[in-house]
Amino acid sequence: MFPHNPAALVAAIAAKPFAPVLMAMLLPIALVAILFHLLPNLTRRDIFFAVTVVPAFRQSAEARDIVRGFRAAVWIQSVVAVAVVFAAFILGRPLLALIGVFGQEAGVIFAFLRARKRTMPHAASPSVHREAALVPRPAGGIGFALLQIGPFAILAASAIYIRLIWYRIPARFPIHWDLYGNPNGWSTRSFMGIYGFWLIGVGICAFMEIFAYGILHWTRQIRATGADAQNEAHFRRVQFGVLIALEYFFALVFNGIPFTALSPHPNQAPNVVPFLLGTFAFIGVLVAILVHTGQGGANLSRAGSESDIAEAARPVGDRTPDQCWRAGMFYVNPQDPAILVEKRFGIGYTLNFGRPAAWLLIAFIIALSVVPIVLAVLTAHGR
Amino acid sequence: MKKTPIVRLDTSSQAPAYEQIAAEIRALLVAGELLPGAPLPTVRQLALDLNVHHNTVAQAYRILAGEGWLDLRRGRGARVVSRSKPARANPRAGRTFRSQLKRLLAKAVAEGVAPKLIARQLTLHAQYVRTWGLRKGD
Repeated sequence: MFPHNPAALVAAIAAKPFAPVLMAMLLPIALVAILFHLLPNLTRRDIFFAVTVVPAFRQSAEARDIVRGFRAAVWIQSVVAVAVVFAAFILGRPLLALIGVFGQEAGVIFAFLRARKRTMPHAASPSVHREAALVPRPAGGIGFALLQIGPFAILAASAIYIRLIWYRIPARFPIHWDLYGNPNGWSTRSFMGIYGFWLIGVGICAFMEIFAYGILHWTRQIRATGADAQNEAHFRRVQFGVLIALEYFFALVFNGIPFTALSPHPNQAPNVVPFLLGTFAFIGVLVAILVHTGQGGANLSRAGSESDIAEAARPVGDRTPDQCWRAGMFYVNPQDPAILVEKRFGIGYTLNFGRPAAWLLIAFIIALSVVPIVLAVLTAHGR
Repeated sequence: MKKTPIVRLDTSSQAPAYEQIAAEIRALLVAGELLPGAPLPTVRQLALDLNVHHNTVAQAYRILAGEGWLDLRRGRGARVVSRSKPARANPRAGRTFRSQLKRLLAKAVAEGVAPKLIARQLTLHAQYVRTWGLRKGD
């Protein structure tokens, strides 16, 4: 039984073996709430809830009211999600906590769609002028290339090391534990059992590598001149850096999983609290960096930021037509040569689903999710 | 700080996009804002930035290469080359210029542009054109 006093209740929950899992659910809820509270301030000045508007619209009473409504919905959903997660753990049905987590995601998307619908009557025709700098885009240089090699070097080094200590690995070892720390999933000392995770790590890093390359080479430079153009180039480099940082993170995580077999007490669940705290601190830093830049560098210094296109009455936007955005989240435009375009829901880039190359990338992601299942089946048969 | 050469496209214009792009780049080449040896963005990069099909940019580059402004080599991209002034002016080019200018002036007047403004712009451009000649060593 759990005590009724809130402080004692928190202490009692923290002492439970499932406390790290509870924490792993509450921290993303907090992160999502903060990120989406800030979302309206992170977009380009002439994009408001995925709709192209004149920059002055942001300051209007209607726009402020839309933002207020959106933020209220985000926080209500987040509080409900926290309550559901706690209730699920108190009732001893931790899987129900997922309803809270996914409910928050669904609620935030619904709030976004509602805000977008309210903004649509204020949509403005974008500028009929387009501009481009007549200089080749910088390739990135040797520093960028070395940074990109790093995760693969880490994975290669660990693969060689594991091969060298192959016979020190137990023939069967646990790889999954239940909420109370009892092992409930095992792997074997086989190629798939050991290198399966490693291969998934290589696949994830390869995908992120392609995406990072795409950000540097396959994205549109929306503004060609002035501080906006510089901010945009800076934003692209930051996005590249964030992806490479995540690539290092995944390389280290998938690299480390086979080493759990070498633990002196292999049946004992590893202490995941430091890992979880480290992961959330890392993600928090990345999110803070993205919030600092804003979409397309919109939050960076704006000194002399006006483009050469002197057409203040008509917004430049992100040079994608509003009508090609499905629900403000999915861009489908076969006429646009861009494979990657700036997101209108969140920060960063998304795929142009009207391009066949985008579907190839999606097929690659699906393959990445199927590989672990196939590997698990193969490992089970090899036991 | 050196000014970045910019190409602009008006999507509401009747002129085809490849002609607009070629005209914009030609103006930069004639004004000396793009000097011999300068590399241009790849066809795909410029098409991406201007949100047009890559054939549109390729066509514009081919026009300029045909006029002797650009060197197009597969795998090396487009590069500005040193172009000497034609030994003899094409007489048809002179006639076309005069008739186009006349039509343009008539349109501007018909749309209410002040003759004073037109005259001032023509004087400014005449001065500007003379500097192009000087740059080319005329």
